[in-house]
Amino acid sequence: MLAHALQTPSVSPKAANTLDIDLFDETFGLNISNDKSLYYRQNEDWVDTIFSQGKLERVDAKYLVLRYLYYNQLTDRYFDRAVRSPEFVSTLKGYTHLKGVEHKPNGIIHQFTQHFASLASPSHFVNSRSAELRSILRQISSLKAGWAGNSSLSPSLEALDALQSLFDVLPKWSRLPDVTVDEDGTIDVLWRRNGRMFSVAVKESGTSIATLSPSSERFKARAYSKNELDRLTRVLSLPFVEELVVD
Amino acid sequence: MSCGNLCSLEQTAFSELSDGPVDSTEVLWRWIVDPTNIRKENVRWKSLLNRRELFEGYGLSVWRSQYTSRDEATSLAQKHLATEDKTFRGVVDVYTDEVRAQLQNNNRVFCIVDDTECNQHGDHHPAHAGIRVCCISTLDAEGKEQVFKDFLNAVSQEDRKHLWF
Repeated sequence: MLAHALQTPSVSPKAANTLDIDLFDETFGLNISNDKSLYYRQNEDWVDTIFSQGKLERVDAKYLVLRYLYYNQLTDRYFDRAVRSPEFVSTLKGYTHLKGVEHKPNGIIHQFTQHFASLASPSHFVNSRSAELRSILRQISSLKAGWAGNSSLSPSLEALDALQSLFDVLPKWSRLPDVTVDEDGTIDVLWRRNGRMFSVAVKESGTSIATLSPSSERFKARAYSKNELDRLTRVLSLPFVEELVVD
Repeated sequence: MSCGNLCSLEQTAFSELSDGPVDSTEVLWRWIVDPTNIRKENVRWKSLLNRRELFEGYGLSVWRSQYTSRDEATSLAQKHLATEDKTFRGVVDVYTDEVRAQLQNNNRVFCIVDDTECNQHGDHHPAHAGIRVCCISTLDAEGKEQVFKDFLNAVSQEDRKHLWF
């Protein structure tokens, strides 16, 4: 991942109406056809239509591009620069028949990025998710002893601290976990998909226990102290864990 | 302590009030209570199980579906919840054979007994049963978490919930 982050992607207008973004072993392409449709391409396959007949068809196609860029720790500033490259901008001139597009050269880019930003730009996504995680943390922090009956415990300060640390090391594109508190004060952070579950139980002491269910020879339940979160980070990047955690 | 196919507690009637030991073909019901187990009309699966009930108390409280009915379960639950600001919404199926098949370090983890005591006030009902950890002495903290989450994962299936109300 680090090697990826250090690698600079190249942007090249291979044709007047095409922008290619080469990243590692893949090429992402954006193309405007004669009928003013905008397509998204991955490697040699045109996989999706973004704009067609004046309508935004598939925002998630571009979302995939940005997600890839961001997942590889490239900034959205980079993407903005790519879309605004002079070659690409020139292909967009006159592309103003879309509803709501302002009649100026950057109008389409404005709409393009605005639509995208409203739904799925990296910064929006991450900020939105961070806000939700902060909200979860606030809710859990507000629990008082007795919240679920006389003997129920609220999470300890150590557990809350560990939860915050866990949220901080979650992969940028992780799905929002289901976070619940047990009556014994344990905080459960869960991701489920297709009958499988990865979870982290944050205990009163601040120790986190990661489990994969159904249990598997590939992964044994392990406990991590607050000082061992770097090890937990590595667990989160294991392919069979990542496919549950990451969107 | 290591359990065989069925431990001694499971082989003979635990309670004189019950209809006998819990058979491995039985389907058990765990109540779904609003708001404890419901958020925005979705079942909060995690809330259906809790560690204390499973590991520290008398066991997880369940109802033997073949000895009760929807109406009776509703009536019982409403009576039980009368003093709390909670509503009975339905049940989730728990399969006896699946629970009994869970292993940790080659030992069975849970036993299911016909424990008719259904609340802390000492009330009994013949259709009540309890799921207990039978090999707890062999479980370390990680082992407990693993069996708890495996149980949770097994129960958390959309097709096992029955929201009647």
